[in-house]
Amino acid sequence: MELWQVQEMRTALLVGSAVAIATACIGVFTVLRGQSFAGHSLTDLASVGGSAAYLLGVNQLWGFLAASVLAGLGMHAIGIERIRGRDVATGIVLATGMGFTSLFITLSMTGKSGGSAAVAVLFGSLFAINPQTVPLICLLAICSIIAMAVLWRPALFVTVSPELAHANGVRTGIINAAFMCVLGIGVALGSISVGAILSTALLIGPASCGLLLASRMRDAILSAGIIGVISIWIGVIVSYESYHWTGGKSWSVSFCIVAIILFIYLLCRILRSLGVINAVARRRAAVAHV
Amino acid sequence: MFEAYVMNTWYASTIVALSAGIIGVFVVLRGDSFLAHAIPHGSFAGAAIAVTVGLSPVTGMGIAALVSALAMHLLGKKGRRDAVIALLLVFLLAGGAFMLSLSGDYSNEVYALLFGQVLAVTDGDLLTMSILAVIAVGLVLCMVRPLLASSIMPEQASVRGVNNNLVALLFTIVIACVTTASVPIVGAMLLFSLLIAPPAAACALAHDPIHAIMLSSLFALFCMWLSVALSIMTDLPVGFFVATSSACIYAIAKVIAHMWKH
Repeated sequence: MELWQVQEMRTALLVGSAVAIATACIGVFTVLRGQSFAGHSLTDLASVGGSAAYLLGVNQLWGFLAASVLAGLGMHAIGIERIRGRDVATGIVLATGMGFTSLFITLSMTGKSGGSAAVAVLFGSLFAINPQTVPLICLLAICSIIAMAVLWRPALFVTVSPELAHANGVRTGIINAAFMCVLGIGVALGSISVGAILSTALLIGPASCGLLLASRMRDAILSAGIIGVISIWIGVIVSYESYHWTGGKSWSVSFCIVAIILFIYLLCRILRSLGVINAVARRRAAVAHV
Repeated sequence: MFEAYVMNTWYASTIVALSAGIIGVFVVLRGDSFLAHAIPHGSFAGAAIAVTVGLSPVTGMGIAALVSALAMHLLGKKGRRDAVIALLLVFLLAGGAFMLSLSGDYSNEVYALLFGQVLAVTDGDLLTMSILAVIAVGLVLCMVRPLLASSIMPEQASVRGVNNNLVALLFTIVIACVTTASVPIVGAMLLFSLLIAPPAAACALAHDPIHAIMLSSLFALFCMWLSVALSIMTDLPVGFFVATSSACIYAIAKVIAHMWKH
């Protein structure tokens, strides 16, 4: 196929697959812990770093990475693990971050053409990735997968029964902080591939599907990874081919990926409510340690 | 700063601040922050579709805010709705950007709707905004007692015959109305700070809901006027000033509340 002749396509598929697998592992825990809002806030805060990097002319990945890891640790310090009042605190931190994003984007727009900064930082594109950052992205993805494998058992324990984990001598504080760090890396990877505000889709979508489909945690993570990779591939190919369908105007690749993820999620929900699938991964995870 | 062509902006920002201040108290009490963050994104997609088709953006926003509010209410059940809200929100956002990319006038349109624009209010917009704000505040006033009851102690309210589900549905529609009225000025990404921070500050300081509502509208009005003034003077986006000033008010209120306690 002519698809493979294009350098950008190969980069997009490689980066997309690596990021999808890493975010699937991280996302399953995020959904289990009920931290979707925190994950989404991190993506918005990552955009502060991304836009600052754009303004300064630094590689955006560093901006995304620094901002989201710092923000993750900051949220951990405020204590988002507490249920009460956490969404107000998260929300206000998030809104302030977005304020600064808008400032940085405005500043980088003066002198340059139009609002392309807003589009580049917020909506990103897999096709626009600098080939030189690809090894770094893959390395970060592998590191975060290894970190999740190490954190796996204690993190699951802390997630399903914090009191019991604490009583058994698990260092809950350190585990939670480490998880927020890994979540920050995952968000940065998602931001560089589908754009800062859309990386939530990659983090939450495949993971929610995995938890709906599978009966064991291992299968949930596995199917989340597969769904993530499939959505990226279909999205990239549809976006590439749409150039021919619409006569010279290709559809945004980020939109195609997000739309496919939402479609798969709704499909899983429908199958589940019809009783076709009856997964118990969530319940099993809850009783495994008790 | 008070020339004829910016007067509409001042009226509009007053309406936005008052309605957001009042509704925000209930958003904070109910713990609906994520919903309040997500519906503005839905309205952004609607505006984008309307611009592409050639309708007025406000009409598109109203319809989309209502539809996305209803979808989030129906799909998310039993306390597990944050994943659904997150997914719908990014889909709508991406969809909005996608529609604008088709219409050709991509970047500037996205930019204005995401981060707000001070000088974009026409007489027609002002009228629509006022009507929507009045509807939202009116709805809340009509159901203030069941709304408070089901926000603070849902189990007891349902024992007393309050239909929690209906209250949640109506309140979601209220958020949709306020959103549609406010997004053209504050911007889809930052409307959320006006809906959460001043009310949260008021709730930290006030002891009963009536005081909280009054204090919250006062704070929101202050933030909004200050931000519009700064935005006109510096030519920077109004959303940035709204976000920073309302976060400052929240931080100050928290410190004062902490000092009262000790």
